Amino acid sequence: MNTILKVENLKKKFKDFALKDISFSLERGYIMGFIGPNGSGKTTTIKLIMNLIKKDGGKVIFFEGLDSIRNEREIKQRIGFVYDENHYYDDLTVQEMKYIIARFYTNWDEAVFQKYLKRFELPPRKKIKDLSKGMKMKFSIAMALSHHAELILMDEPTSGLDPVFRAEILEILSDLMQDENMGVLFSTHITKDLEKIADYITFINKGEVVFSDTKDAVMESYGIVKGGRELLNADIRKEFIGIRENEFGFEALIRDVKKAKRVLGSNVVFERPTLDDIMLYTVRGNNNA
Amino acid sequence: MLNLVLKDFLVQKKTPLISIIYSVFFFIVFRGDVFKDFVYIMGSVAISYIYLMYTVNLDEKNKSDLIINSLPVTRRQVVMARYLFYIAVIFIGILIMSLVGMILKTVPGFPDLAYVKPQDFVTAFFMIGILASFHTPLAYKFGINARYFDMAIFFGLFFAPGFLADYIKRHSGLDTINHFMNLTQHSNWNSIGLAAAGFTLIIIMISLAISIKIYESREF
Repeated sequence: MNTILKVENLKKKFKDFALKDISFSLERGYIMGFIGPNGSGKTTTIKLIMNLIKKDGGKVIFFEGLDSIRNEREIKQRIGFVYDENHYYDDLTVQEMKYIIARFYTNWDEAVFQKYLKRFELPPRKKIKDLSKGMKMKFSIAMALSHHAELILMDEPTSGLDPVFRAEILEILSDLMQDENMGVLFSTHITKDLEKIADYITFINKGEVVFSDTKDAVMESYGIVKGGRELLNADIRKEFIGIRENEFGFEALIRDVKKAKRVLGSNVVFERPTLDDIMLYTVRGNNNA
Repeated sequence: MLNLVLKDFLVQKKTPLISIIYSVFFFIVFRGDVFKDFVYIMGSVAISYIYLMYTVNLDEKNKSDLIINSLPVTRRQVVMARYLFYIAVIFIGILIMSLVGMILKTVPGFPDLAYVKPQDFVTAFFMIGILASFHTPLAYKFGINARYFDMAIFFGLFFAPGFLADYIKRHSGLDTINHFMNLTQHSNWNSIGLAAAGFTLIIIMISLAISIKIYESREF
């Protein structure tokens, strides 16, 4: 395996929030979905990875041995970034901004940029501030993909976009993964996007990693169980990660489907959860998700 | 690093035009006897200050530090490039004023307008150098709010010599002042200019070190 990004015990403390021992790794050729509710620490983690904020502890290793601090410049030549908002100088045109940014990358490929410009129908002479949110995002993506980056970091790229734009961005990512040399870390709270394209899922909540595994393993290990309330007792409740009850029955998320089947038998119905279910029940816990 | 300096120029598309308009304005407003000897200095300082403020303003408005620091550059380079940009801006300020001054000399209505003198350049370099040296660390710390300190720095630059002379007069007597006046009157402008430029460069270097320290600990 060729690890493109390894995050080890990353720590960061703020006044009212702390990121606690975040660890996960991403292999080349895969997309990792980085999910969690708003305020769970996704952006903070990405900023720590990019050395935009200072870590209190832990390590970030890129490309099998390059340290995020010591080898910062070399690493950033090989990274493409897409943030949730436009931070490019918005009085400049697409063309002018590209001219400024392209000069920083030794591997800038103008042909690739022009290809994306065409594909995204980005008007080169239009000012960035006059682009729609979706077009601004496409511009960011074009910038991130035009210097043969090996790792693409995306922080909520689909947030606030309409379904057509979102689908288009996901399609681009799928196309990108034809290149097995590349890896993508894609943070989002819209988990539906990831069900189509992600190979790995890292779920973070309240500054802690809940799990980091292949999407298939996650989907197989978790289950939704539905049944009547009369089945519920303290021992059974302990097996649930989160539960929603109403007058007719309950619906709960479980971590170990096999064990739950043994305990609850045929009195209940098992369903495959969505990533949204997993996130929702985990975040709400037993507070009636 | 030069890419960062170039970036600071390219993002300010309108500033060259605004600077030229300002320079004409300065020549028109300050053509009376009292100010005509200082017009090149005042104009250059104003133009440099416009560049300075626009740079900080644009970075702040777009939160562009996030993008800049995601590029393959170190924070140290970002700060050093900003100082190089300011030094370049001093030359641009004086260049614009000189060129506009030369053109206006050919136009009726500016009979007493002089050409720019080396003293103007050195004085402008000293004033902008000191202003930028105070302004930049504060801008890295407080963003655009640093402009509130700029007024204090401006007034400081104008009034500090008077206060200093008064202080020396009271504590060391008139002899020290007279000795200093003698020294400056008997030195030629080259040595005074060189001393002022050297002093400014030292202040800029100290400011650069402080700015790097502040910027390296900043979080975006």
